[in-house]
Formats: sequence, C-alpha cells, structure tokens
Amino acid sequence: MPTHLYIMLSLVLFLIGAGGVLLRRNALIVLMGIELMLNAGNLAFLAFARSLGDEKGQVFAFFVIALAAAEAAVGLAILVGLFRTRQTVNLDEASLMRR
Amino acid sequence: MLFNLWLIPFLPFLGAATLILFGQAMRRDWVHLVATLAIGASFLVAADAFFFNLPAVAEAGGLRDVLWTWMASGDLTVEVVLRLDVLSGVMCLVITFIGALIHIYSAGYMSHDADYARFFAYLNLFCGSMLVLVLGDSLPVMFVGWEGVGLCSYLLIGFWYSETANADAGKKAFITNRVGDFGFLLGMFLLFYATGTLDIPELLAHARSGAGALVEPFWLGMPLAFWAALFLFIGAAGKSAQIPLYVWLPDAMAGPTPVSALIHAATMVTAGVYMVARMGALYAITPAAMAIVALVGAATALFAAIIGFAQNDFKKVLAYSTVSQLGFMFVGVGVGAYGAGIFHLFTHAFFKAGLFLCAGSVMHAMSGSGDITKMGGLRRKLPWTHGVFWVCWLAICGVPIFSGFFSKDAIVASAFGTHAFSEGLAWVAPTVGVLLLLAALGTAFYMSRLYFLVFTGESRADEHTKAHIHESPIEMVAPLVVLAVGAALGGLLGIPGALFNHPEWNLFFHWLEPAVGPEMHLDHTLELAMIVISIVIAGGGILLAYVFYGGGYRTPAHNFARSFPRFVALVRDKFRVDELYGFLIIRPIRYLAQGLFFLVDRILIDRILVHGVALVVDVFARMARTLQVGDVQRHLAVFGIGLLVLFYLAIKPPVPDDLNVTVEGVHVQVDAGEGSPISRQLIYEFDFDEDGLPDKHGNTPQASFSYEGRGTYRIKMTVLDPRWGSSRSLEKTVSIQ
Amino acid sequence: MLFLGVENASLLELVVFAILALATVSGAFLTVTRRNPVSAVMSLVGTFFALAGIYATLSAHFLAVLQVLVYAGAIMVLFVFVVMILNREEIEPVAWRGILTRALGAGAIGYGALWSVRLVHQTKDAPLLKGPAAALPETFGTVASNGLVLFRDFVYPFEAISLLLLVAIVGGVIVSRSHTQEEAAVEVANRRRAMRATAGPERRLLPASEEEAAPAAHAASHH
Repeated sequence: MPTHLYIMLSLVLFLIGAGGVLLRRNALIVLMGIELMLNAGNLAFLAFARSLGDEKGQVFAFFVIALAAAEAAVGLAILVGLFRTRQTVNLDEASLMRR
Repeated sequence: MLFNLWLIPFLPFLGAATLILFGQAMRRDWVHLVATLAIGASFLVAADAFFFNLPAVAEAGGLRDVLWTWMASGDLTVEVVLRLDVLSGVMCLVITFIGALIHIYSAGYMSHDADYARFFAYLNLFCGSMLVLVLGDSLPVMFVGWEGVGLCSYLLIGFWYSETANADAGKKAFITNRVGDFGFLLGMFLLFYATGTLDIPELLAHARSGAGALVEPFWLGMPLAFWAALFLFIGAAGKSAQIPLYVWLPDAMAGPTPVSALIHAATMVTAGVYMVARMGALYAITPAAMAIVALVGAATALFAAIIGFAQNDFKKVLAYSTVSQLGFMFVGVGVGAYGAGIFHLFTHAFFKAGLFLCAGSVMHAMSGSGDITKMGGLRRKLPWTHGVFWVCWLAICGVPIFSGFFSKDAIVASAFGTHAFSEGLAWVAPTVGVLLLLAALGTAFYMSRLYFLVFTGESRADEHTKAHIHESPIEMVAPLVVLAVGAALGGLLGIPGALFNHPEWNLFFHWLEPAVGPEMHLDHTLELAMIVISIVIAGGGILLAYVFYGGGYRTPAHNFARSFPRFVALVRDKFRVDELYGFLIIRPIRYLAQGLFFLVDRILIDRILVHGVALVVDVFARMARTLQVGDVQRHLAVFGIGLLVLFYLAIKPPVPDDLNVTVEGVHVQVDAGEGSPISRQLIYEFDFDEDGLPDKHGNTPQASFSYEGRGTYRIKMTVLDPRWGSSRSLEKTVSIQ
Repeated sequence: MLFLGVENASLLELVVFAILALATVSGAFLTVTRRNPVSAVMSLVGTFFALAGIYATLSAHFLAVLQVLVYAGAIMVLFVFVVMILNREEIEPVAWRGILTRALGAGAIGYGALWSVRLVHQTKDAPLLKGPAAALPETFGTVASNGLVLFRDFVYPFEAISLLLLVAIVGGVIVSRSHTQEEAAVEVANRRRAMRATAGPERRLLPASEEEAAPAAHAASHH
C-alpha cells in the first residue's frame, strides 16, 4: 500500500480543515476544522509509522487523540461561556476591539 | 600725528555698538556724548588726514590702506581697502562735519523721545556705513557701505514704527533702494566679467586704457562699458532718488527731521553722485551712458521742481527740492563736469541741511504740524530760524554771493559748454542745459513760495497753536547758524575763473583735480553769459513767487487755482506716479504673491506635503492595524502566509560566495567550492555564452568551457534542487583576450 | 483484515483505499461547508468513521478502535450536546470580516498543501514513502504491542497526559460555570478562607469537609 497516497490524503484533509478554520463564521465549525487538522496529522503519523515499521508513531497518535479530547472539552466550554454573554457564536461579533 | 584710515568709519561703528548694547542703561547725557564724540573724533581724524597727510600724496592717488583680504576664491580677489583721496576726503569731511552738527541738533529735537539711545545708535551706524561707502576703494566694499546706508535709512525712516505709515515709508525706501541695488550688482558683475577685478583703481586704469573687453560691443551693439555704467547708474538712481526710483524720498519725510536733514539731504542721497564721480573714467569712455545720466538728471530736476509748486507740507517741498537738486548734480557729473557736480553736492549739503533743520524748528514751534497753509508770519516769532532760512533760501535759489549761486552756475555752464558729446549726441548738451534753466526757475519759484507762505504775512494758524509758537532752544539753533554760515560762504571756495579772471581762486576744483581730472575749460563768454542768465532766472523766480504768494495767498494764486483746478490737483498729487506704480507693478506682484501663496503654501505645503504625509501614514497604519484586531482567524491566516514564505526561502539551495574563474587563453575553468551536502542532491548548470541556455551541467560545481573569440562574457551558475524545484544563481564577468 | 505491507498493492487494497479516502474527503468537505451545525457534526462523525477504516488499512488497529470510541464516540457527542445548547442556524456561512487576509492565508496554505502533494507524488519512490520495506510483524499495531511501547518507553508522557486531562476537566467545569454558580463558588471559597484564618490551631488540622456541608447546603437552598 503505497504510503504516498496516505500522505496526500493527509494533506488534503489538512487543507480542508484549515479552510474551515480560516473562513467560517460559526465558532463550532471552526473547532471542527481544528479537529480535522489534528486528524490529518494523525493520519500522517500512522502512515509513516507503518512505513518505517516503528510503533512510536502510533503511540504518538494516541497522545494526539487524548490531547484533542482535552482541547475540545475546554474549547467548547469557552464557547458555551461566550454564548452565555453574547447570545451568539458568530465570530464576526465576538471581538471587543475595533475593526 | 598718529592716525589710521580705518578709524574714520570705525569710531562711529564703535559708538553705535556701545549705544546698542548699553544705551538703554545709560543716562541721556552720556548717550548723546558718546554718539557726538564718536562722530566728532571721526571728523578730527578725517580733517587731520585731509589737511596734513593728504597733500603729500594727493597726486599719487591719495592715502590707501589695505586692511585685510575679504575673499580670495578662484579668479576673484577682494580686499577690504580704504582710500582717502581728495574726492573721498571732501565727502568724509562733509559727512562727519554735518553729521556732528546734526547730532548736536538732535539732542534738543529728540529730547522728549523715549527711544533716545536707539536713535543715536542708528545715526552713528549710518555715519559709519556712509564713511565705508566713500572710503571704499573696491566695489564690494563700497557696496557694503551702500547697503548699510540703505538699511539705516530704513531703520531711521521707520523710527517711530508704531505708526503704520512710518513703517510703510521705511519699507518703501528700502525696497525701492533694493531695486536700484540690483542694478548696481549687475554693473559689478559686468565689470568683473570684463576686467577680472573689482578694485577701483584697477578698473579705472582698464577704462582709461581705452582697450580690452570694456570697449568691445556686448549687447545691442553697445560696448560693455556702457551697460556697466548704465547699471551702476540705476543703482545710483535708486539711492539718489532719480526718475524712476525717486518715489521713496517724499515718503521718507515720515522720519524724524534730523534724519531727513542728514540722510536725505546731505549724505545718503549723494552717494549716487559720488559713485558716478568716482567711476568717472568709466563713464568718460561711454558718452551714451553719460548722456543718459545727464538727461535723467535734468528731467528729474524739472519734474520734481514742478511737483514742488503745489505741495502743502513743509518737508515734502524740501523733499522734492532735494530730488530736483540731485538732478542738478547728476547733470554735472553726466556732462563730465565732475568737479561741478561735487561742488554742488558740497554746497547743497549745507543749505539743504539748514533748510531741513529749520523745518524741524518750525514744526516744533507749530506743535508738530508741517502744514504751510496754516503758517504765516513766523518771521517775527522765530527770528533765528527765520534768519537761517533766509540765508539758505537765497543760497538754493542761486542768488549771487551765496553758495548755491556758484555751484549751480558751474553746472549749468558746464552743461552748455561740455565737449563730452560728439555728433550723434550733440543735441544732449543744449537740451539738458535748457531743462536745467527751467528747473532753476522752478527752484526759485517754489522755494520762494515756501518762504513767503511760512514767514511773511499774517499767521493763518488757529489760536491754540499760535499761542505756543516759540523759538527753539540754543542747542538746536547753534547748528542752524553754523550751517547758515556754510551756506552763505561756502560758495567762495569755487569762484569760477571767468568771473574775475583769476582761475587760481577756484580752490575747490583745484583740490579735486587729482581725483576727477582738470576742470572743464569753458569759453569765457559762455561763462559770463551763464552768470547773467542765472541771476536773471533767480530774480525772476523770486519775483513770480512774490506776485503769487508774497505775504500769504494772493489773488493771482487764487485765480490760477480756480482756472486750472485739475492741473493743480494733478501736480499736488505728484502726477499720481505712485498710483501708476501701484497699478503697473505692485498689483501684479501682489496677485502673483497671493497666487503663489495659495498654490505653494496652502496646497502644496499644507495639503500635499503635510496632510498628504499624514494621510499616507494613516493608510499604512490602517493596513497594519487590521492585523492587530484580535481576530484569531486573521492571525492564523497571516501565520499560514508567513509559513509559506519561510518555506520558500528555506528550500533554496545553498550557493557559494564566489565563482573562482581561472582563465587560460580561451579556456575558462570554474570552481565554486565543495558541492552539495550529502543530504541534498543538487544540480549545477553553467551558462557561459549568455544565451540563457545551460551549456554545461552536472552534480558538482566545477565546469570548464572554451570560448571562440575574445570579448567580455558573463558566466552564470545556477544551482537547482530537483526535489523542491527551487534554484539560485550566481554570475561573474570574465574577459577573454 | 491484516494487509501485509507488500510492495505491490493489490487491486482490492486500492479499491478499498479509494472508497475510504473518498468518504473521508467528502465528509470533511461537507463538514466545513454546511450551514446547519447539526449537519456539520454528523458529517464529521462520518468522516471519523472513514478515517478509522483507513487507520485499519494502515495496520493501526488499536488506533482505529480508539478513533471510533474516543473521537467519534465521546468528542463528537460533546459537540452534539453543545450544538443542542447553541442551536442557531447561520444565515451566512462565511465570516466577512478581514476576508482578504484570511482568504490569502487559506490560499497560501492551500498552495502549500497542493504543492506538497505534487512533491509527494514526485518523490513517491523514495524509501520513506514506499511503504514498509520489510513485512511487518503480526503484532504490529495491536493493543498489546502498543501498550508495551506506551508503558515502557513513554510512561512519563502518559502520566503527563493524564494530568492534562484532569486539568482539562477542571478547567472545563470552571470555564462553563454560569454566573450564579460562579458567584456561589467564590463566596464559598472566601468563607472557607476566613474561617480557616480565624480558626484555632486544632481546627486547622482538620480537613475542610465539615465546613463544606453547611455552606453547600446553604448554597443549595438558594437555587
């Protein structure tokens, strides 16, 4: 199974995730884009782990998943707090600074 | 006796400096003492030099003192050099003597003024500058004095600057002077261009030699000497109030009367005449320029005299009289009778200063007013003033025995009898002579008018003023008397030879010979005829004035005014020359200035440069500000862009510092170092013949090539990284023999 | 279902990979382009399932299961909960503020990504990208094998990650407290501090449990 295909897939996933993070207005979608990017990284780790025959890559992907969980939890908690004060998750209106 | 030439101008400067620095703190007596001592000491030094040291060297050109080298740059060398010869010596004596008298007079006149010290400081400064002007033996040095007196004139005319009119008059004087000074500068430039020097003796030697660049045609077929002389004369016209630059002098009467007496009668305005006399040799080689000088002088003399007929302010009459008499002087130097011109300068200084100081006395008595329509009968109330005025009046009219008669007659006779003008310009001499005769008639008329209206008849003043009429104190009267004596007897220094057939009695002209050349030789018949005509004219003018104004305004005066009201108004308005200048010159300049102000100041500087810069900064700031709004998505975006840029830079292959090119005949060997690191497979391409296509390539940075012909080639090595697709190149030029 | 990492992949493998890759990419694409957040969440769940399949083809069995359990199972459930709380349908999907910079950034990343894809394609014969050089052991990617590596070589990071999770939990609770909850907690903490300060020496030794009961009941009675 040629590894380069997996790497290309990982890159495309990363690209889609980055597009979502940069261009979307809804904060939830932005968080989901971040999850996508993390998963793209995971995919790359696993592909190279198999290619090199080293399991360390898989262990690292394990850590990434744990981290993603923690980050998602806290991020969503913040989002809930934001919603409570501003009644919106619209990122356009989520800034106190002047345009 | 120990003396130094530089003391003459230095002492007044020292006085001025002392008064400027400490004058405010000094007591009035001390201020006056310092100033008068300075000028008096200067007079003593000048007299000592003139009478004791000069005669020995008079023939050789006088006493010359080189003080220091002012500038030596390229072809131009200017030294500060002072020369006291007979011409400048006479001027120095006049300046310092009359200056000292006026200092004494001013003590009384300005005694009530708060700016006492400033006045005397300026007076001293003026005297010093004027002395530099006449003593300067190099055109730039003379120019320093020239500008200095212009400055002091401005300062002194606008002395009471809190009145806008006075400040305006000062400005007018200075600006009109400046226009003339521009001409002076152009003249200097032309002379330097032609002769390479600005030293007066050298310039005059060039002129006398009659050859060289000076006499070659320069422009419009006229020789360079003509243009130089003409431009210098323009400067003189500005300084000495000739047509068309005379308009400042009547306005200058806004200054204190001692100022008018010293500056605008005796000294500054005569600077132009002095300059022409000094540069006599230059004028002698351009009869055309001399003709212009004489014609302008004569026209001015007549023109100003006519204006003087209808003026109602005491000092204005005297001002126009000065302009007119200066015209006489210019005729004198214009027809080549330099001695006559300077002689008239000499006598005029005495009687005109006397007339002005009398004006001060009269105005003092009339509570500050100078309106002659309200004067009259002052003969009884102001005996001393009247006496002095009487003497000076007769002198200026040209009544025999008094000084003016001799000097004026000398000029008019020279005008008719001069040999300076040859065929083409032969009409100049008679024309000038006739104009002068008419001007002399006019002089007699308006001065007599002034005398009759002010001193004779019944007083036309109101009761309040009449009660205050009183003679001036002794310190004001004493200088008046001295001046009157000079006005009366000064003429005896220049008795024309023809009168008593004793040419050696013509002392003044003999004195001046070393400097200005021999006295013009005139036909005896002509001289005697001129004497008679002058007497007739003087008497006729006085008589005419008596008919019109003897003892007050008489019927003929009223009739004339009634018959020609518009003409009288025109003359009284000085022929509206000021208005003409305003319309022709000042308005366009003002529009131009306003336009420029709007364009450059408002638009260019304020809008484009100041606001524009702010705007540009604002635009960039706005762009930069957007990055800092706290928008995380934007930050991430910039992060991504930066990442890409960094990546792009990081993948460029390494390139050595220099290509080592070894040339052997037509064969070149390039060696650029060790080659790519093991982890990177790089490709090296070499382009030897500048065609853009690689000629050699390989995995190592070494290559060799053979050229076909000689020339200069540029070798380009490109390093490629095939994996990332990035490249970098390096060039070196090599020449093949 | 173990695919041995041989050089020549069989047609079946390629087909399976193609299907799963397609599912992943389309799921990801849908996630970032849906207006309705619920739709987005659902597509993301689908994406994760497809990814799990791909992990399986990579002989990462443990990770594949973990992906389903944790990612699709827990994290996405969390997302669903939050979506339910913040149920708002968007009017405009794209945020317009500063769009230029962000589009440029997205473009830059996209350019970099696609260029990397080309690069990867060009160097696909490099040993790193060729797939496993030798046959992988049978135990590659199993729970036991991973666990061994995890607890033997990476025990410190493992402990650290558990600490991190603890911190995340606490942080999540605190951050998402409501206003009144916040005030109550602050009040409790102040009271506890005051009491401990004024308490006698014996009291300080006691755990803070006794004082908890009274204020907790006090706080509970408020709401």
